[in-house]
Amino acid sequence: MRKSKKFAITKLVLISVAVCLVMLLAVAQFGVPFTNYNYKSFAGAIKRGFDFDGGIYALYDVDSTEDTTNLEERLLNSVVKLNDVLADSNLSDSTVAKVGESIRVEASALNSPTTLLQLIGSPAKLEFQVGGVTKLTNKNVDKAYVSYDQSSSQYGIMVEFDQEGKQLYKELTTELKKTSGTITVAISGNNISSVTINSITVSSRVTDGKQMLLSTSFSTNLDTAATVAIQIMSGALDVNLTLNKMDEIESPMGAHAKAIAIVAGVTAVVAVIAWLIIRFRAMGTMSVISFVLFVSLYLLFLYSFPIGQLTLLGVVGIFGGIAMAVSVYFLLYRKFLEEYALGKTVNASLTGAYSKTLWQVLDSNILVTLVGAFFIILGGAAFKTLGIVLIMGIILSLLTSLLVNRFLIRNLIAITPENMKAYNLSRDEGVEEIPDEQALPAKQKKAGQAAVEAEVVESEPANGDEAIAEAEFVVEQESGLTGEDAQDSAKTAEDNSDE
Amino acid sequence: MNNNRSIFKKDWNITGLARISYIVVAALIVIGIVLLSVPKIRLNTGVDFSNSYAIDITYGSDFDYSGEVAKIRSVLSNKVKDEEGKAYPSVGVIKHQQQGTPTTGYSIRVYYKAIGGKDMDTANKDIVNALKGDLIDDEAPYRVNVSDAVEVSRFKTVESVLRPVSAMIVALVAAMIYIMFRHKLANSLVTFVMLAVDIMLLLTLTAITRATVNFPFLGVVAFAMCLSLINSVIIFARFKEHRKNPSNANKSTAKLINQTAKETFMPLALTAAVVALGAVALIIASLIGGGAYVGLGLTIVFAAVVTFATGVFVTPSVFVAFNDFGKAKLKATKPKAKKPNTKSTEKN
Repeated sequence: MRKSKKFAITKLVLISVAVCLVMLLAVAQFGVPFTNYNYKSFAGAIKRGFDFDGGIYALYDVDSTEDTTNLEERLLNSVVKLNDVLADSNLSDSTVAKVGESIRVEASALNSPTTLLQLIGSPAKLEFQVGGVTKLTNKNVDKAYVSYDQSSSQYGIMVEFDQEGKQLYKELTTELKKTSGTITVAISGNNISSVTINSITVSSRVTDGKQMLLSTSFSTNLDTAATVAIQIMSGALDVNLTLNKMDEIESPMGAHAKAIAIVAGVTAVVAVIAWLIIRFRAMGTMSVISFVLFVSLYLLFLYSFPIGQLTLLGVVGIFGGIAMAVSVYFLLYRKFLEEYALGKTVNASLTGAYSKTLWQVLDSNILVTLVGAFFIILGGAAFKTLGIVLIMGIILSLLTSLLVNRFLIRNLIAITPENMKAYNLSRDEGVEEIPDEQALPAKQKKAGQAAVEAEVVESEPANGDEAIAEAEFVVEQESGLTGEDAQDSAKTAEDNSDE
Repeated sequence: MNNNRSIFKKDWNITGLARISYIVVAALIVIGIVLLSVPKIRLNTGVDFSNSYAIDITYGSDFDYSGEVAKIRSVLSNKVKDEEGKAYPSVGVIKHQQQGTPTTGYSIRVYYKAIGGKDMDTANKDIVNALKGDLIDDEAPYRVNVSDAVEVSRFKTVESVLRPVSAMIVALVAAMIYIMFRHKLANSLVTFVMLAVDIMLLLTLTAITRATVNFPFLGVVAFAMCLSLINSVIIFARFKEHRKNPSNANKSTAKLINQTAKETFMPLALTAAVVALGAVALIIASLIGGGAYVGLGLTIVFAAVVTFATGVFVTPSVFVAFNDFGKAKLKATKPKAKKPNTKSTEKN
């Protein structure tokens, strides 16, 4: 017994030290002794987006040679296309707006947006020609992005035409298919004069409005392919833009954005810790260790997992993750108190609490994971971050609250099984304690009883009047109840059959 | 000390409060619908969802950013008057950003929202003049330059809003299917109704308090959706557990759901409290740091409070109502004549 106590103490100490170390790595920033290396915490190294760290803004003017017909509408269409370009370039928290007769783009400084913003002001002209005659240009292109061509094992640029372009390209390829004709693809623009795109030999009709462009200039060079794709998209805008100004810009949240977010996060964490310790003392302290591990691992995952950039939506996701974690603790402890009040020992109460709340916890977590998964798949770039952060929080909260917390409390109980003051627990007078030895057989007995109950329920009729009538009759016969009382009991029987 | 203590009296009947809770919720929803359907009231959308105006204030040298922002706020909210001498009601700083570096020159970009029905050309001129009057030092006028106001389109396109909204709808359908399989159809419908109520109440409170709604608000709606689902499922699972317990065999649905609501009160309240506390900290810190997070913090508080309140006080009543409705339908489809037959069969 003494040996097992010592072993439990050792395990608790080791885990506590490990959690403290993880927490230190998560939040502390320090210089490593005897080296020039400065360690930066996970929390400090999380990629923060425009909402927190600001970034760069670029102002584009309409090219002076541009026709001014419907300029307002064309500018707004260009805003929509530019939004897509930036989202495809991992700049999901960027903003694009029409400002007077210009377009202004604000983007996070992460992912080197400077080059991208310069490329937007440097459009390329893409022409699909047959026999020297231009049949289509990139003005009919809806999207252009880098893709990998499986058949030729090289990078290419996938071009997706808009509705009009789709129709034109379909007609063009239908015509050329008959003679196995070729489409020459000409591209011109700043810094891409050396790029030549392979001609397309038409062997089948293209009905989906998609065409892969291949070139020896970017077959193995992803960066060149990306550059050309952005320039094609820039040329696909409804207006030709020239870069007027580009400069740094602060977060719209002001200089205190980071500090504010940290204060909010710390407050929520401290509130949970305070409640656990005040209410459950020693046992609560074990939960604090597992909760601190949850927070530290959450920070580590936010740092190391490809969530893109932490934006305000990501912060909402973190709130969601913390809410999921604390709800598990609150449910577990609520059940624990109920089990203890029945007369079970601390050990048996813990087992009962975990087994009885398991599906309650899993149900809610599976549901939110499902919701998060749909955010990732369908929600667009910004909601993808929210979904990932939410699911990350769920996985970590289940891991720490169901496994680590239980392990810690088990060891604590092994050290001090009967010190109710340390656990801040007491029962109603007259409730006798059921020893652990009896608790287990009692549980088995209960399981057996449940099986008998299930058989009884199975033999009952399904729903409706038949069930009520039969149950009412049985109640009347067995208990002598009549009228409303019998009906109430019968209704209960019906409820049971529903379940 | 009794560990199983509850803040409720033993006989407090939550489902008995159904009428009151329905009236309160319905009243709030009606107010919400009225507010959301009046164009000039609606939600107080920020630069992400509505057109705005921007003015650039350029400084010749480094300057006290916080001090200048405070001056700008004061000018826009107090000093610019309309032709009747009243302050423009909707003009105020909704976003400001410091631009540039020491080498390129600093500036502050100020966004403010358009006023529906007002002559914005006149208003913009008034605002620019007021800013010039307060920010430009007569002794060194070259130090500060105030640009003309320029109209700015909304920052978020319709497409960027539609995608998250459609993701939420699909996620809701998936959640309902899951609940239907894990519990039953009625629970799935209760979840849907409660979610709709929660979202509507969130929108109502946001409209009433005039909290600024920007793109992250969609995240708060998603967050409210998650909290609403969690609360419903926790109640269903607890109810199921009670229903399976042989000692509850003689208790009706209403009694058991009451018991469930009382027992789940504390876990739900504590979860909501932790979220709300974090959000309140966000609001307080934001007020000190410039006020940008206030709208977001406020809506998170609303999400926590609304989902908790409806989860404990409304979900049980709706749950009972749906169960009763289901049974009433079953009764209607089965012929009543079967009752004496059953009895006679039993007696025979």
